[in-house]
Amino acid sequence: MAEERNKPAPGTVSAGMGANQHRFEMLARAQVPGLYRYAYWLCRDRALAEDLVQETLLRAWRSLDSLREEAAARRWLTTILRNEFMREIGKRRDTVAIDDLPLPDTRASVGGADTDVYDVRRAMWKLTPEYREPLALQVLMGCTTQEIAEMLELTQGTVLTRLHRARNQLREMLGLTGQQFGEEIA
Amino acid sequence: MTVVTCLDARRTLGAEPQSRDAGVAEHLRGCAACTAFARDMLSLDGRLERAFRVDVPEGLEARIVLDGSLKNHPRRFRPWMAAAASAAMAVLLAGLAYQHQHPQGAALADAVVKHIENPEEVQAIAPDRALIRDASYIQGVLQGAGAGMQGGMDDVTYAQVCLFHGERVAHLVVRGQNGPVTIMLLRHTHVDKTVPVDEDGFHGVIIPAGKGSIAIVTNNATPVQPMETELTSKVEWTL
Repeated sequence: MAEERNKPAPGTVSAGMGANQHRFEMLARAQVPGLYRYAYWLCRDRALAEDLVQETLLRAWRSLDSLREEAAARRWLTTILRNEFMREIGKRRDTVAIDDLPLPDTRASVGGADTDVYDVRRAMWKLTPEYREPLALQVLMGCTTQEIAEMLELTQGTVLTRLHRARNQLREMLGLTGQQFGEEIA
Repeated sequence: MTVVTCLDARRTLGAEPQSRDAGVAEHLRGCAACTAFARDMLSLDGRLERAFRVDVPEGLEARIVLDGSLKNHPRRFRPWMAAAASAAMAVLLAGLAYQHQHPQGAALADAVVKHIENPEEVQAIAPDRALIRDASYIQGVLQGAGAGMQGGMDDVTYAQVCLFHGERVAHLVVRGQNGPVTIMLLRHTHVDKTVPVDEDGFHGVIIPAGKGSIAIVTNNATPVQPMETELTSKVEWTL
């Protein structure tokens, strides 16, 4: 009976230390690629992106009890990573402003040989962070507009507007301006 | 159902190309132009998704999750009785960690060569790399590693901020007389005297540079001595 009581409920993260660690490692491993990519698009710097992912996982490990369902892990870790990034930005305010760094050489830094991918990346770096970030959360991390609104502390309407404008700007930069109609309503 | 106009449909699709909104779907059934718009948006999103998926460094999951770093940060506080023993152990581990993070002498030379030979980095010394003509990009890399280079630097074919024993360093490759030469600006690694590098076909030096050091290493016949003089006078630490 006691054994039954101590069993973790399905879908929850609450077991003994060893089991917790194993489950956390499995969960974390699955999320590392997405987190690294999101971090890279936040900070433009792959070394810093690795640091952010590592710090995110350490913080997540320390506060694992606050994660009630594994299904929410992606969003939970994304939020922690974003907070880490904001903290890092705060620390660097007096030294190097990340927004002042030049655009990365996307071919060299991310290994993309595909011309189209290269062109799209260049265009995406030209978006301001307020447009690029919700787009990354939606397209890369698979977040809903409601989730993005909560993470960025914006209204859902604002998120929708930013996503719409981000795509319009990208279409313009990529020479896909056959349909101007969308821009008139932005 | 609310009537959805072309304006409404495009606003929705521009924000959420995968939208399953019933009103938008109904509108698309009767509007060829908006259907084409929806198709364009989905196509754009496919390109965006590919572009967002930058290469993840090989083995990153293992490095971060399985290298023991999580195990070294237990979630639960130990009983207070273990505190004294933990403190003593912490001092010992800190010393070991410092040695690990700041290797000296032959260990440092070995670490530098290992970094150059790392599968993620080895393409940096490919002989056919093009010159980086954007000086501001190189400047950005140097800034990111807490370094500066008076008068800039010519003939750079590779420039990245890398993690080297937990610290951010500038990893540059320049065209030498006989092939690529790697230069690593190690702001956090002080050496008292020049450390020779001779390992795995690579040769060069790690020279003192104020509170840090500079590694100049190559695997071809380019002499590194002229670069020692130049770099010693040009490199500065900005952080």
